[in-house]
Formats: sequence, structure tokens, C-alpha cells
Amino acid sequence: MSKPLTINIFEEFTDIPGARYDSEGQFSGKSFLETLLLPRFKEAVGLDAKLIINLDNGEGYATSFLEEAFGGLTRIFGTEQVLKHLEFISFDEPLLIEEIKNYILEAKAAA
Amino acid sequence: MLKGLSQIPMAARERKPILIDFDGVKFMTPDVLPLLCAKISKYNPFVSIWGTRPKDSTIDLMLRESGFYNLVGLEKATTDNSMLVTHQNTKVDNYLAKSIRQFTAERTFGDKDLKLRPLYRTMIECMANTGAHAAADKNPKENWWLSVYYDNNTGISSFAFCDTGVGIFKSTKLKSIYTFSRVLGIIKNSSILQKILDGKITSSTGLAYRGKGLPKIYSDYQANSIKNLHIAANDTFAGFDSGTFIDLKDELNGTFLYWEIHPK
Repeated sequence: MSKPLTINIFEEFTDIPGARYDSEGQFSGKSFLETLLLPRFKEAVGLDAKLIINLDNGEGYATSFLEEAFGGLTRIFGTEQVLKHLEFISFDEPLLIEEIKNYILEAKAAA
Repeated sequence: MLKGLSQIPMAARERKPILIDFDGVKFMTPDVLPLLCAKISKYNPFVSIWGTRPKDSTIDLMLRESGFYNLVGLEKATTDNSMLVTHQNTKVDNYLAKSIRQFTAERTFGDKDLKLRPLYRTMIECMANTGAHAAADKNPKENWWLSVYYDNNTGISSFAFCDTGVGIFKSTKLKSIYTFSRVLGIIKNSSILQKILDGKITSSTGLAYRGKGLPKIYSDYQANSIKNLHIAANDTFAGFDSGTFIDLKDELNGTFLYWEIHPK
């Protein structure tokens, strides 16, 4: 695999993540998916590289933000592809990683 | 308080002016304030609502800083450096959630920069639930109200959130077995609430991957990240510390959550 790509949500998107959709308020999971996660994930797949998501330093994440971002990615690319390329850093809330992986696995059924 | 609040819609329908009289009130907890302000805000475009001041100085301060006096035309609310802050909106307000987290971190822990992620998450989940469930597609601009109160004596910050929507039980898409059992009186809303919190009943959208907000709030409570959680919706009130589930005689049209952040 090539050198990994990264996304630092705090530095590149926001420190105040919101809910699922922009219609509900700012900095939604859908907005994160469309503006940052999806383009960089495609780049990672094209390069056969890992994409490392750094979740630290923000205010915290609502379930709907995480599900729409990472479940949404899975509904486009499928579980196998997403789990193959994504890795996570979460020193602030280590349990978030397991939670996100569950969203990815559950999204398979809805894909 | 619920009994009194339940009379506001009826009086508003009949265009009768309403007086909310605090003159003789000697005890009040801050959790009632967002409910009170939400009801007044919802109905005062249609009917005159007036208020009186209590003699008790603590209650007077709470009412002033909640914005109650502003709503009933007694005075403008002041929130600078206050112990009680009340806000309303229709959408998720990330900036407000951050500022309340900072307020709490500074007051309860003496460190404004201390991140309180379960608190921020709980506020966002509540606001998002209002948008997703409270309106039930009929009135997409349903308001929510959020109050935070800091108790100087205990160091505890307490939070009360409410919306004046349809409530959890009228918005949640239940499996037919639950609907049937509820109609027959075999299963109560309190049991259904526990199943929702345990993630065993899906959201009003019917999509399995939705509706994880309330279970997350409950799991943050179980992990002791937020304390003393209470939830009231429609005809059910639940206090989880005491394991109390009460059937309300006066139905709450909407959803109400209360929780606390304690100093370590």
C-alpha cells in the first residue's frame, strides 16, 4: 500500500460537529462526507492507500453525524472497501472507533 | 407545574388572557423553566400572557435570568454572568452547545477549556431529535428550549431541554406488536421508553441506522458521564437514578430531558 492519507476533522472541517443533514444545522455529517471524506476516500482507493481519520480535539460527535459520514460512505462503497482503507485516531474518546465500526457494519444491511 | 401548563393551550384556544402568578411560590427547581418559557413562547402570539413576581429572591433571580420576565412583558432578560441561561431555536445550534460546554467547564470545573464531550453530544442529540421527531413533518419549525443552571453551593450544573412537539411516543414508528399491545394496555409507554433507550426500537424514520440519539444519551448516563437523567414525554415520566416511572395525569405535549454535570 502507498503512504497513508489523513483527515484531521478538527483542523480541516470543524471543532463543533453537528447532526446528520445541513437542513438540521451547520457542520453536518452529510456535509463532512461530501466535502472532505468522500473525495479523499476516492483518492485513497485510487492510490491503494489507507485514509487515517483523526477524531481528536473537537467538542464531540453526535451519533447522527458519525453514522451519516461513515455509514454514508459505506452505503456508497460497501463495508469491505471502507474497512480496508479507513483507520481512526481517537485518543480523546477511544470507544468512538468501535462505535464507528459498528455504523460501518450496520450500514452494510442498508446498502 | 404540568397541570398549570396544560391549561395554557385551552385558554389560548378560547382567547382568554392568562396570568401566571408566582406571588406565593416558595420553592422551584430550575428544570421547570424551559418548559414554562417554551409554552409561553408558543402561545403568546395568540393570547395575552402576564406574570407576577415571587417574593422569594432566589426564585425571582431564576425567573429573571430564564427570560420569563421578558416573555411576560415585565422586563428584559439579562444573561451576562448569570447562573441560569435559557435559549431557544429550531435547528441544531453547535455554537450554543459549545458556549454552554464552556460555561459549564468554567463554573463546575474552573477550566473553560476543559472538553466535556458527552455534554456537548447530549445537547446536539436533543436538538437534532427536535428537528427529526418533534415536528412529525407538520410543523418543521418546532422550537426547542435549553436551560443550564449552575448551583454555587454544590458546583453542579443542571440542564433542562424541552420541545413542544408531538413527543417521543407519538413520533416513534412502533412495530405493530407494540402498537397492538399498547392499545390493549398490555405494555405501557414506560416499557417502550426503556426499549427505545436500549436501542431495541428503531426511529420514527423506520430506518435501522437512525434513532441512535436517545440510546447514546442513555449510555452516557450509564457511563456516569452525565448524571441524574430524567426523561418525560407524552404521558410518561422516568427518573433513572431512582428507577421511577410515573404515568402523568396531565400529558406533556413534547419531550423533556433533564441531566446534571457534577464536579469530580
